[in-house]
Amino acid sequence: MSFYFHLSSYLLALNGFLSLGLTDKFSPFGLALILLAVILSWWSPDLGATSPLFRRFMGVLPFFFLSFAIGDVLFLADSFITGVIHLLILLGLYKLYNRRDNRDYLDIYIISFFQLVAASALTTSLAFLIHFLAFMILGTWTFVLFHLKREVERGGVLAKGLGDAGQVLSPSFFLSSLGVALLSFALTLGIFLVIPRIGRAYLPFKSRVGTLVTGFADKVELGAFGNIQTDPTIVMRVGMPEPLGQGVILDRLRWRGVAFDYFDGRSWFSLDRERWTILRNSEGIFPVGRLEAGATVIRQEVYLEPIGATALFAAPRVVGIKGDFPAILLDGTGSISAALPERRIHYTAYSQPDAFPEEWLKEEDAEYPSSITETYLQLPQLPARVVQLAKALAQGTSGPYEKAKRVESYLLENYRYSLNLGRDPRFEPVEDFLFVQKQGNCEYFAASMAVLLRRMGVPARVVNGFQRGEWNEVGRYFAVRQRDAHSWVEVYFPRAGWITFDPSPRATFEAQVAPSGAIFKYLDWLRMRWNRYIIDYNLGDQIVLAITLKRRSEAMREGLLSGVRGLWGHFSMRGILPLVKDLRLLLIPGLALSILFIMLRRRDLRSCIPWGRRGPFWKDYPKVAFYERMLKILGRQGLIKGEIETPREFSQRVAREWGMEEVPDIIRLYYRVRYGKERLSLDEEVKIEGILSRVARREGQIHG
Amino acid sequence: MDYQAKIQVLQDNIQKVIVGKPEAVRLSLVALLARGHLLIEDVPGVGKTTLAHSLARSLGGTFQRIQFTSDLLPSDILGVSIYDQRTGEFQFKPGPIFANVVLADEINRTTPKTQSSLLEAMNDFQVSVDHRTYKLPRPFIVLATQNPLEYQGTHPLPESQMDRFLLRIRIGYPQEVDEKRILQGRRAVSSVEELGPVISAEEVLVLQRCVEGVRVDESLVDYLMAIVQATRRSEALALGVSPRGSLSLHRAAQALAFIEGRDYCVPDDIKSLAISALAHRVMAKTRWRLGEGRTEEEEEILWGILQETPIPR
Repeated sequence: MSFYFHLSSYLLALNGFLSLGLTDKFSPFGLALILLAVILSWWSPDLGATSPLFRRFMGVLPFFFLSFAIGDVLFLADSFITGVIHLLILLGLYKLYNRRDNRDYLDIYIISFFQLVAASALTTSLAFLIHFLAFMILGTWTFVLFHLKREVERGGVLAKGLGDAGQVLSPSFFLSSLGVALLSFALTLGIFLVIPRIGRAYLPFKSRVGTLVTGFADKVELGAFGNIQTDPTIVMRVGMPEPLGQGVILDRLRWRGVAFDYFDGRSWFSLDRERWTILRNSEGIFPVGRLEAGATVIRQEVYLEPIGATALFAAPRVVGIKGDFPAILLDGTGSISAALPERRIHYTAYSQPDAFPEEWLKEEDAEYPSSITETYLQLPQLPARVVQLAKALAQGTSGPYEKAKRVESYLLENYRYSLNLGRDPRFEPVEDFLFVQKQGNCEYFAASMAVLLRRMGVPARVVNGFQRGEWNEVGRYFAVRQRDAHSWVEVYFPRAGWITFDPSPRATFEAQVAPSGAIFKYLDWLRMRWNRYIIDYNLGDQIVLAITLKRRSEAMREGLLSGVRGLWGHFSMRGILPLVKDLRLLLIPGLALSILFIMLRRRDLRSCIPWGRRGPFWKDYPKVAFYERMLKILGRQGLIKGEIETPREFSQRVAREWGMEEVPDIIRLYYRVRYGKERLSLDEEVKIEGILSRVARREGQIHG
Repeated sequence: MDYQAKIQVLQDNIQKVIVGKPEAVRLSLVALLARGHLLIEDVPGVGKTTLAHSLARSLGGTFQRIQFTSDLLPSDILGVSIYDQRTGEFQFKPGPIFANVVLADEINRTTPKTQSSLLEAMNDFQVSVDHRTYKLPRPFIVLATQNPLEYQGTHPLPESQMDRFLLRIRIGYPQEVDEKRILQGRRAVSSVEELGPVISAEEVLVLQRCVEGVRVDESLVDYLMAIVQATRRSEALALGVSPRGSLSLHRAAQALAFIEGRDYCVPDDIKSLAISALAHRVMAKTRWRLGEGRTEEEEEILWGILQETPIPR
């Protein structure tokens, strides 16, 4: 049984450590190192038994941990919770290497639980569900085994039936505890649905942001997408609740994000940053654009992962947005943004991507208002070759639509799509792409098309967003990945407005990428459900609270830091005192301290600290419940212990005069507990209950 | 070493001789294990000397018996320095007090001067003769017997001397059944001479050290202090219990707990030992009037105090 007990204890501990691995706080190497340390600790009790040096070393370690944890939270870790996680890992490992008796194992379980709790605050991954389930199943097994082990050690009543451990640890034992675990999981689920979660905004997503932001900021350098266009991480899922329309529409479906109006030869800028705040209308929709009568409106349910940008993505020609934002902003380039919390958000977008048929556009002429020509015909000094190319392409075209179509097809047919971005630094990027490299990614295609069109006098701008993504027929949504980040061009028509053109031959390139398998699609669908129904479940005001708490804690950290600095400089406490007032903020350090306290309960550890040797610093007169109960029962029968009678004398009197021979036995046990500070075995507790019930029955006989 | 077994063997050994007096035997062991000295007081003929003698014989180590008489001198107990003609120096000849177990029989028959010579030996486990100090062997225990004070030809022990004894116990007449057994069955009852040592001096030292480790709950210390304070406040007593007295009760309670196989004290330890450990240290006011105190009276006063001191919950 000992082996099974160890095994399940270890699996439980391992589960805790692995769940921390779900958070993005560890590199795979670091995680592997931690797991290696966990596995190696399996053999550690032998180490402790043979080497007194090892034991002494372990004795002082917790104090280093504590000082490390304080320094960690103040200076190293990016948030309180990360500091707590570091401490949890250290304590967990410490306990694994120092497990000697049952209490150590209990500590290991508690730490494993805390690890799971800490992980839950930092991850929204579906895999957490697996860890949670594993914890419930392993936890049930382990605790049952733990109880059995302790009972056997005590030699209690159970031990008598446990002569052969093999009988107990049968498959049916594991199956029944599995049943218990699943039952409690079902119960937990019920509780979960009743009590909303909090703490989501605590998630420090900083590390995941970074890469993508570059594509959706005010300025984008050519080639910025290059490094993310191999990343398969899903950035959003766009659900299409209504039946999909014509194939034509689908082919040209893109998720528009940010548009750029100014080009300096190397980078695109979004200079026209005048923004209008859009407020919700009576239907709860933010009206963003003009609704064109008679054109199809497609509804998109967008689940946007936190990517660090503020842009809201949707199919072009957005007419309305519906979502839990206080307000949204619209700028001159038609980009929609909102103050997004750093969490997954969900909104509904209504778009009319194909409001104007091709015939209409062909009829458009080049009568542009000055506001458009001022902004969207801007060009830097262009190399002569580019100017000549523009002239050549413009020859023989009539309207702007024809020009745009010609440039688009010229680029599509003569250039190759490639992620290997070669650059010849002697030339400007656009010239280099058009005449030297003759291959590049979408950004070069888009930039070249916009430059050529502008040179021909057609207002155009570059748009960054995502291409359609992979259709998941299980969940009826498009899974959009980082590698789907895309650039294209919008051309202005006096009547129709901005129309999408895409010169990149990306589709032919994409065809080489194998589509995801069915299993993957199911998993991703599950993940979406998880996000939708577990992670995003009924957050409401809790989020606001959590954000406030986060801000407060950051303020406290800031204050604590400046307090420490102030202390360094002036030896004054002014910086810290106001912080203590907000008691709620002591929660997390309190958690860390209580974990430490759990460890310090150990007597041998206590002997390492000077104040630990004196024993408990509080006076305790333990009230022994069974003794009090006995006095009460006897008191009801008129047998009252005199003040000057010792319990033993009283019990002897009761035994002598009333024939309750068993009462002195209780007193013997009482003395052991009260003065000997011993714990009773299960056998003895059972015995006491038996005697008490017999004594109480006598009472019934007397009165009955 | 199995301590409990050792104590049991010791107890059984003594009870081969002392029949029907388990309480007295137990108290004598308490004195032994608490590093104290024992005063056995009772009327002649109830087995005082037999008890002391059988305890002495059950222990390994050296044993000396001193019969106290009115003409006994301090040097008869402590030893003398004799001039050695060959070396030209005084040489100390140790007296009978240099033994692990000293049986001081009828200690109140001798003069106060001789009685007092025991003071230093009993308290400091050493003897000073002619400006030199000699260590006594360890363990060292004095088992003294005396007749009640009102008997003829006795000199009451001075208070300071009484205070040196950890316990004063009484044996009392045996139960009729036991007395009959003593008369009839000589076979069942051994004579003192037949007893052999069942525990060595070193083992006694170990047991004594163990006793010091017995835990006394704070509430019990409070209880003990309440009793001691009551003797100091009592209207009936001219002299209350000294700090040495409270220390003795504390130690005796530890020893009793240990003998009963516990490593912690309970209220009964203190309550049952209070009279044995304290009664000989207090002085009843009536003693001034009558000239001599009566053992029974002081015990009664202490009993009254115990009846008024509440037991800790």
